[in-house]
Amino acid sequence: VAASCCCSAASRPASSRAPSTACGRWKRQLGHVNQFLEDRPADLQAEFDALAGRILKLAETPFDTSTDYFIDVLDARAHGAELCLRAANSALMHQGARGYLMGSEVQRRVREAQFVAIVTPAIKHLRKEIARLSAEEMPA
Amino acid sequence: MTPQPTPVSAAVQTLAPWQSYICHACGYIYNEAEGDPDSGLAAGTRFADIPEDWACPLCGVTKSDFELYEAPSLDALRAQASDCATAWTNTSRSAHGVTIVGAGRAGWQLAEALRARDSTIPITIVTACAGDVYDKPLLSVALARRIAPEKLIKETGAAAARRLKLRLLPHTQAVRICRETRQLRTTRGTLRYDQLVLAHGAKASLPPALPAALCWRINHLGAYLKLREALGDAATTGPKDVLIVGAGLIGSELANDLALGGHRVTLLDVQPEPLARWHADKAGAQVLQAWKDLSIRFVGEVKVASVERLALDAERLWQPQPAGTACAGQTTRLRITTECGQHFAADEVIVAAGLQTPSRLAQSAGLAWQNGIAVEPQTLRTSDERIHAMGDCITLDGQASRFIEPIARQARTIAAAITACEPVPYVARPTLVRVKTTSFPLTLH
Repeated sequence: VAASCCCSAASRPASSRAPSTACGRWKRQLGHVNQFLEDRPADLQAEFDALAGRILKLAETPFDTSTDYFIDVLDARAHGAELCLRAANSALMHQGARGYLMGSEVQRRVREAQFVAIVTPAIKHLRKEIARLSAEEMPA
Repeated sequence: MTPQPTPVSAAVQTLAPWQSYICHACGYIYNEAEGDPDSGLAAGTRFADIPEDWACPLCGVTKSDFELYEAPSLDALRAQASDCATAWTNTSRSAHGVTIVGAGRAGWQLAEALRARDSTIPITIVTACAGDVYDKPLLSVALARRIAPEKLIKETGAAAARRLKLRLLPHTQAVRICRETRQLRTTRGTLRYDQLVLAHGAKASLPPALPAALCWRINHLGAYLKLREALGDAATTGPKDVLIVGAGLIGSELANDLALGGHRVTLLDVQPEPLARWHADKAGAQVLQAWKDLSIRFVGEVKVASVERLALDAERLWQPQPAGTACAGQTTRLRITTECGQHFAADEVIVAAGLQTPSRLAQSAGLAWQNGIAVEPQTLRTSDERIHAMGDCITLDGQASRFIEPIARQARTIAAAITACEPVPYVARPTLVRVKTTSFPLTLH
C-alpha cells in the first residue's frame, strides 16, 4: 500500500511525456533565463529514471518480508514524494508568471505534489518509520 | 605519585609552554596542562616527570610509546594547503562539500583533519547516535577507573560541530546513497555531496538464537550508558549477575571491568579458553590466572541455545515470560540455556560475539564489498571515485582491522585526497593490541 502512490507515479508515462513537450516550448522562449535555475529537466529526468529503476527492482520481489526490503519500499515512496515537490516547483519556476496563474496546469501540479508529500503516510511519517525500523533493539 | 619539582625547575617549567604527547598505539594525547588526574597525574605534570610505569589511560601502552605532538597550527596548515587545488570554491552549483556518515572516532577525526586543511569546505556529519565525542576504549575500563558515565563524553556533538564549523545531524539514519545524483538520503532529508566518506563503523553481531530485546551488545556509548543504568552501582544497589557470551577482546575486557566494578560475571565461549585468537601468546591462560581472585567464572566449549526471561509467579515459582509482555514490578531473571543443556541465571546478558559491517549503504551504491566495504589500500577509496571509507566498516584485501590506531592515519590520507593536496598514502601495518584487562594487562600482536 505504501508503495502504491509512487508506483502510480512511475507507471504514468503520459505525465512524464507531457512536461518534455512543454519543456521544449519554454526552452525556446525562456532558455536564456531558465539556464540559471536548479533542478533542470535533465537533472530531474535522471533522478526519476534511477528511482523508477529502483521501484521496478523492488516490484520483482513483492513478498519479501525482510525489514531491509520494507525500508527500501518506504524510502522509495518518500523519494517519490520529494521528487514530485521538486519537479512541480521546478516546472513553475521555469514557466514563471504564466505558471503562477491560478488556472495554469503547473499551479495545479504544485498542489497535487504537495498532496503526495502530506497525505498519510506523509514524508515525515515515512522517515519516522524508517528511523524506527533502523534502530538497534536493546533490552529495555 | 607526582615528583615534587624544585623551585627553580618549577619556575622554568611554568615559563615553558605546555606540550602534548601522543600515544602511538591509540592516538591518545597527553596534555601537560591537563595532566591525567585519573591515573594520579595532577594538571601541570610535565611529561618528563611522569613515572616510567605510567600507562596510557586509553590503551595501556607505556610512556616510551609516546612522542611529542604538535597540534597543527591553523596558519601553518593554511600555508601548506595554499598549493592545494580549491576544487570547491569555483563550482558554485555543486559546492555541497563533504558528507561524512558516522560520528564515532573515525568520523570526528576526519572532520578534524579536513578542517585543519581547509577552513571553508562545507562538512556535514550524519549519525544515528547522539554524535558526542568520546573514547571508546574507555568503555572497557570505566568501572575499574570509577569514571562516572557522564564523564565519558569529552565534548558534546553540538560543541564539536561549532568548534569545527560543520553541520551535525544527530539521531539521523543514512538510508541510501544515490550515486548517479550524488545524494545521500537520510531520515532528516536528502543531502547532496561532492565527496562522501563512510565512517559508520560496524555493528555487534547477534547470533539468531539470541533475542535482541534481552541481550545487550556494547559497541557504542549509547548502549553502554543504558547498560550501566540497568546494572546500577554495585556498592549501593548490590552486585548483579552478568552473563557475557563471547570471551574475545571485548567480552574479556567487559568481564574484567564489570567484576572489578563489583558485579558477578559468568563468561561463556565456544572455545576452551578466553582470547583463543591469541592462543599462541598463551593469552587465555594468563588472563584466567589474573582473574582467579575476581568474581569471574569462565565456562568454555559451550554454545548458547536460548535466552529467556523468567518471572516469579504467585506460588514463588519461576515461569517463562512470553516475549513482549510487561513485567513491571515483578521479580525477573534471565535463563540462559546452552546447546549441551546447561542452565545459567543472570540479571543481564551481554553478547560480545564479534562485529559485522552493515551493508545497506554500500549496497545501495553498488560499492565493491569484501566482508566489509572494500577500499583501495593506499587511497582508502571505494569502487566509486567520490566515496571513501574508513574505520571499522572497511576491509583491505578482505581483512577488517577494527582498532583505534589506524584511524587518525586514515583520516589524514582521506583529508589530503579530498582537499586535493599532496597524497598521503595509507600504510596498513600490524596493530599492537593492548588487552585492557586491568587486573592483568596484556599486549598482543
